[in-house]
Amino acid sequence: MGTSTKIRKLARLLEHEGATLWCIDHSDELVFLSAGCADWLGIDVEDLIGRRSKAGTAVSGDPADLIAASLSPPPGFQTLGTASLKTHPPSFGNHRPESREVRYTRVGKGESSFTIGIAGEFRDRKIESDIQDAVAIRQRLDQWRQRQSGLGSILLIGTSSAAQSLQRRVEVACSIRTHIGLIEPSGGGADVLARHIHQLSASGEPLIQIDGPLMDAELLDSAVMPLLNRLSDSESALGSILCRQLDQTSPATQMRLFSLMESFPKRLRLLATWGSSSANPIETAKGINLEPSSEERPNPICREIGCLLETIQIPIEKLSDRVEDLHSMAQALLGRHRVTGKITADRISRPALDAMVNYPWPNNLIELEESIRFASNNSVGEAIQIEDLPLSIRSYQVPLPQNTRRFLPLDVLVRKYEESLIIEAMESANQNRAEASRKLGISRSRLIRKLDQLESDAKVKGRST
Amino acid sequence: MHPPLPERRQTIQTLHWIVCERGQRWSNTIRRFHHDLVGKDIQAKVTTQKATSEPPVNRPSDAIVFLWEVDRSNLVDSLDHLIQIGLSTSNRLQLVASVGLSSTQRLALSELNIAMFLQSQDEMTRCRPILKCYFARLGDLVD
Repeated sequence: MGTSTKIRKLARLLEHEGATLWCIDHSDELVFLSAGCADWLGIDVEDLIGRRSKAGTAVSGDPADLIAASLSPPPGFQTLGTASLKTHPPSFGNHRPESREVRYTRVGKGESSFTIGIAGEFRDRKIESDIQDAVAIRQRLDQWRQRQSGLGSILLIGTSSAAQSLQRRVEVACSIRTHIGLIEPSGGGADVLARHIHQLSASGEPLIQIDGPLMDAELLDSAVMPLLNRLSDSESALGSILCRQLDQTSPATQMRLFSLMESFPKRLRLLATWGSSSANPIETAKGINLEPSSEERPNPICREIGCLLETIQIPIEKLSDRVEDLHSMAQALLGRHRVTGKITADRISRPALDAMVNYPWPNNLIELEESIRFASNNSVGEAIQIEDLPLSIRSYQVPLPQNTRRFLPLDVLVRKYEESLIIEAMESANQNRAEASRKLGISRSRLIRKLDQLESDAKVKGRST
Repeated sequence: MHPPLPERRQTIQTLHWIVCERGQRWSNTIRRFHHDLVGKDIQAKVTTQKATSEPPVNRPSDAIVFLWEVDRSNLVDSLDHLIQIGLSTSNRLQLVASVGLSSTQRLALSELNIAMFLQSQDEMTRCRPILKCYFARLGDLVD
């Protein structure tokens, strides 16, 4: 009696939860179906009790038989004793049951064994979606890396001496895994070049990008924590940190960065960028550059970090100093945008290219990339025209070389010439005024007046400066 | 030598917060902490949208901070948008409020130039130095 009561309790619990559970005995007949099965299948469960439920056997045309057969475990279950299956029960009348995940398990052995089937949502199936997510994340990151790396490769295009030097340095940087410093003018693209190097030298390695000026030591720890966890978990794990604008990073943050590098020697790599507008901050930190103005520089790179980065340093030249490479770079950028399929232009017209050559490109590669994107979006023909370029480029006028002497007043020029003649005559006469006046063909008193005038002019000029 | 280009600096008066979240949790936090973060001279314009919607296009000179609420369910979609913003606009600050992400997933996001990961609202005040530097980069100091 006690057992019977417990079974009723179990049935009540299943009913209360709406669970869809059924049992199949060793002779493949349904012996129990919870009340939830009736809601799911749209049939009175009593009609299914005793019906055969075995995969691969002949079934009559009775809808109840078809439903009972659909609840059977898949072939091979007898061997394994456990199975998973997505079940699609047939319709019964107007009721169309939804498909559900079903787990089967066998209990017991031999003639006393039976099979339990339960339909619902199972967490273990989530593993597959996690794997799918991981694959999707991997794909997107790869696309991101390729795009960034592609932009970095634009910097290597060209035949100028600056381009060739850059190509050689990058080739060396890609061949070994070590810390690398990249020195760039404003918008020079050092970070995309760093990504390009990373992609070529250690593509499978995680890379964390941080903006040095935005970080204090605590924020740095927080930003790189996932990478540190990975390095701590596995002795063979590798990782890289890309720190932008290291010269604008606080000394405390730099020291923290160095201590992180020391914690994982040879496994944690630093790629750092800094500006070329100031003197080499590494040399400043080491005391090699002792110019008086060095104290005005914001944050020279600390000696320890400097030692790490001095092995390979890659300076990036200004775009205005690589005029001969500009056309190739712009054309390559245009080609990148054309891949999207939304752009009609496939070349840059001569007037547009002339305007680009004349422009000083204060923001270098980044500005070039933005300008080509802007122009290619504006362009409607086969070639980018000058009117497609951003206003700042098409309206830029190269200033004429200033020649102030040409516009000096005649009196000033005559006075200067007279002054030079008087000085020359005085020098040739050994400062003898009488002889100098004879050489110049003027009276001695006139010469004295002019000398007094020159002396007073010189005093005024001296006071003003 | 080329002469310096015309000055294009302008005073930033408004900081656009674009909060991509399902509810109002982080937008309310921003409204609460905005003046603590950037001072009283700069107004906040908070736009809330679903994490899966497209971000609005703005002028390059606008000060814009994106805050993405990212969890496991919207990680892949958010990744698409983070990459899109990263590629299309160079000078935008992106913050991520990550909920229940694994270390590996956070590591993946870290590659996309995320300025800061937030776990809870009280960490918002830690964004102050980041915003200060961001404004400095845009051409104007906050204070």
